[in-house]
Amino acid sequence: MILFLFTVMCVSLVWTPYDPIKMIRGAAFQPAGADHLLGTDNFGRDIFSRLITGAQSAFLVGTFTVLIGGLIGTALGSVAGYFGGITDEIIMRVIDAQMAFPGVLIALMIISIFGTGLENTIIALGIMSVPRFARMVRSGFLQYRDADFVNAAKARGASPLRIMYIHILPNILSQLVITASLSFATAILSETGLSYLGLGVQPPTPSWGMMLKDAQQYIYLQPEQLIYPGIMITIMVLGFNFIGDGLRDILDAGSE
Amino acid sequence: MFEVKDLEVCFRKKGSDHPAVTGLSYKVDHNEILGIVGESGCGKSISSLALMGLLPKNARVTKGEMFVDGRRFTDFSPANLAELRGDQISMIFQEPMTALNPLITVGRQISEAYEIHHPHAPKEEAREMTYEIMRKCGLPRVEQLYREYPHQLSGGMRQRIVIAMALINKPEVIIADEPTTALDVTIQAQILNLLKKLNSEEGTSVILISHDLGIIREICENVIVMYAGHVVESGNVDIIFSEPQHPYTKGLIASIPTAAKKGQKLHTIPGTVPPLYKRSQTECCFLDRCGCASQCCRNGVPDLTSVGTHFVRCFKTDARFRKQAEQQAKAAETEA
Repeated sequence: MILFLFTVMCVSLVWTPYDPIKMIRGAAFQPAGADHLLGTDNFGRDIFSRLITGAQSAFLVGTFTVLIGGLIGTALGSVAGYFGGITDEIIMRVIDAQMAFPGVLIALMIISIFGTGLENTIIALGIMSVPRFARMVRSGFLQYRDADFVNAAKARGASPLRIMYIHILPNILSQLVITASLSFATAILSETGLSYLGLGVQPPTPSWGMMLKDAQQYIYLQPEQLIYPGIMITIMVLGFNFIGDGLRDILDAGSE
Repeated sequence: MFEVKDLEVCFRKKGSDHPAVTGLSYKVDHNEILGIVGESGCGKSISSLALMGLLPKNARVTKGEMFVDGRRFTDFSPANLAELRGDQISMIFQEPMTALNPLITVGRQISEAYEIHHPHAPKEEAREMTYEIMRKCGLPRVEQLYREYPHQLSGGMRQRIVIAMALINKPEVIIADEPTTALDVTIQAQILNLLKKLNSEEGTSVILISHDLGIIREICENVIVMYAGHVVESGNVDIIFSEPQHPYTKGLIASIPTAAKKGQKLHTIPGTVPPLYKRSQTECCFLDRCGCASQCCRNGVPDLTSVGTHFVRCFKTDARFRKQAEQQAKAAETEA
């Protein structure tokens, strides 16, 4: 199952712009046909191309969100977990404070301050995913902080920085990867939601969320417009969820 | 040359300090192997962790000085300590499997010890030094072994790797904390021989911590017997083993099973080591388990005094108290 979805994912990765120019054309509301694989939308844009290009946004958002959230979250979590004490308390209270807010609210806040668009969406969602990473990394560090080989490394004169990132982090890598793939899915879903609300990626850049919203208006005229982005979103999110679960089964047989 | 003076290490529990090690003093010269022997809980491991600066968070050094090669390092900051560790003072831990990072090749872990203390050395140099020390530790096919992971090695090989890690920077002193406890007897002998060889060839002082009297007798020149955080007897190994003076040491030696004792009931020392917070600072720590305790033993902790051949901490052997006891006995006699 995972393998199949994974392949679909890779196919999505053919987001090397197939027909980006064809996004603005003449004939509107064409049904699926030879010319346009999935038909055209209300503006006459080829749905298929939009779908594929939409994958670009999705992947961009997912990757960078995970990168930002992952790097910041790991940095915070590792420092909190390794040093403990006051540092730990302060960092975790900040994280807790952020977690007290519903995720979308924070994203909305950031977007209302900085404006809409792809970059800001990524920043907002990145910040949203920091707590998840921070907590996970922190617990991992707490677990390994007193391990014998850490003490042995200290006995060799290793500096805290070296111990944290050369010794402890690799042991957490598997959990990190799992969290990353699941965050990817969540990020895409959130981006879809934001775009649906009109707060994420702006037209004419296609995004599946936005396509859903546009399709809503014409549901009686051309219902399939609604289905295609929906399917894509489902496939992508399901796919990454499955990958995450699968990875967890392989790498981390002990947890959950 | 390595020296410890009057070391005291306390655990903090509920606001008060409980000493785990009191008044520990010893000197180790080049080419010397010192043994520290005692039951579990006597403080031998904690004292070595204190020397390395690896004490757990709730323990700290409350008194005493530590010197390596004349340099006092008692109050060193973590950064300065890190410089010493692995370079002048090294430690070998008990369990070789857990002392090695499972995700890094053994060769790289050894090289790391070199790289940390020689940050400007080229990678090839570190690798060459690693190969050399691995060979010295009796490891075969070093180039291949370098690239293997801990779980691919046997227990004896792992411990050799750990020893190699400790030795690569030619430290002044190695602290070996029960290095052979996790190994079987034949490998044990090999490792001990290795330590002996390295001590005589490289001049590295060795502090061997163990609860196994046989090992101590085998390779140590001098030995410290510890009980409940105190040194109760210290001196030359052969003398102590042939003429132990402290009741605890006597008990320990009597407990060693030998072929001659076959068929007889094993000698045991009744009781157990008291937990930290139950230890008294005002009377002899061995009181409850001593077969020959008397009233004078409640009058405070005895000092470590010379009995001619070595040092013992016991009122019964302390010359001053003997005189006192004799006088008291005489007085009691004349009265009666």
